[in-house]
Amino acid sequence: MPAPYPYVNGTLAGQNIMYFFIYANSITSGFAVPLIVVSFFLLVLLSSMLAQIRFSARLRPEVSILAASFSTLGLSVILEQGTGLLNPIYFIATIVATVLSLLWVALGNPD
Amino acid sequence: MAGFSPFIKSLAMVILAVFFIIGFATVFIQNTNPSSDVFESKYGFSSSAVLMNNTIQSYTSTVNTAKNVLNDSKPSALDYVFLIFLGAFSIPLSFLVFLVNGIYNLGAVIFGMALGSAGDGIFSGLSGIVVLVSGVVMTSLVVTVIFLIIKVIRSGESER
Repeated sequence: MPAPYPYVNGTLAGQNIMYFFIYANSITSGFAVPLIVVSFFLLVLLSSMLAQIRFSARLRPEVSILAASFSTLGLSVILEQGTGLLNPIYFIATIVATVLSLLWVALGNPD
Repeated sequence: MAGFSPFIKSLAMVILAVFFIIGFATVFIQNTNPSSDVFESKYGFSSSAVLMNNTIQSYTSTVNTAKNVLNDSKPSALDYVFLIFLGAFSIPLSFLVFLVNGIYNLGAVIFGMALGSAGDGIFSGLSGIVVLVSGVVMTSLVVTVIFLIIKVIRSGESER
């Protein structure tokens, strides 16, 4: 029984890591790379929160959200270098998350 | 909060940071991959990138004009005085043009996603959500500033 997606043979996936990601994204109908972006966001968010608790015994979640969304914006800027890799909706969503968390950090109570 | 001065400072810093973040991302992607999906006309990134590049180009051409005016001056006394005057006029003019265009670009870059193209941009897809979210945020900020002004006036603190 053949696989329900095109095989990697005959594609450009062997040429470049970007083409490999494009292949993985195309056979999962645009789900793989946004999954990578969301995983990166959660990884930075949780590690920043745990580091805050460990080093200062206090937690400011907005700072962690800002760090996570800013680094995710950097990752998505890199991913936008390949055409067809990341849907622009996710790119705009990271920009919106960065702006909103920046507003939250800058205009919130500094306590 | 003692007055509304720290609030305004924070707001200005946020606006500048947002401008730099979006401007850097847009211009970087446009330089490295101009055929990226981000630059479809409905998202509005393309127009803001073009706008920023146009501003830099117009500034460069004004600076070149000023330089040529200073360099190509003939040693005739009247022309020389006049060209010096022209050069002294066009150098501040170039900075003024850069400043005014930069202020215009600030709004165009920050709200570029909301602007989109004339046909399918505004209130279509995610651009509509961006418009709604930024509208709610801006409205709440304006209401907060108004309440802070009222509070400052009533409490008698006129911190500037």
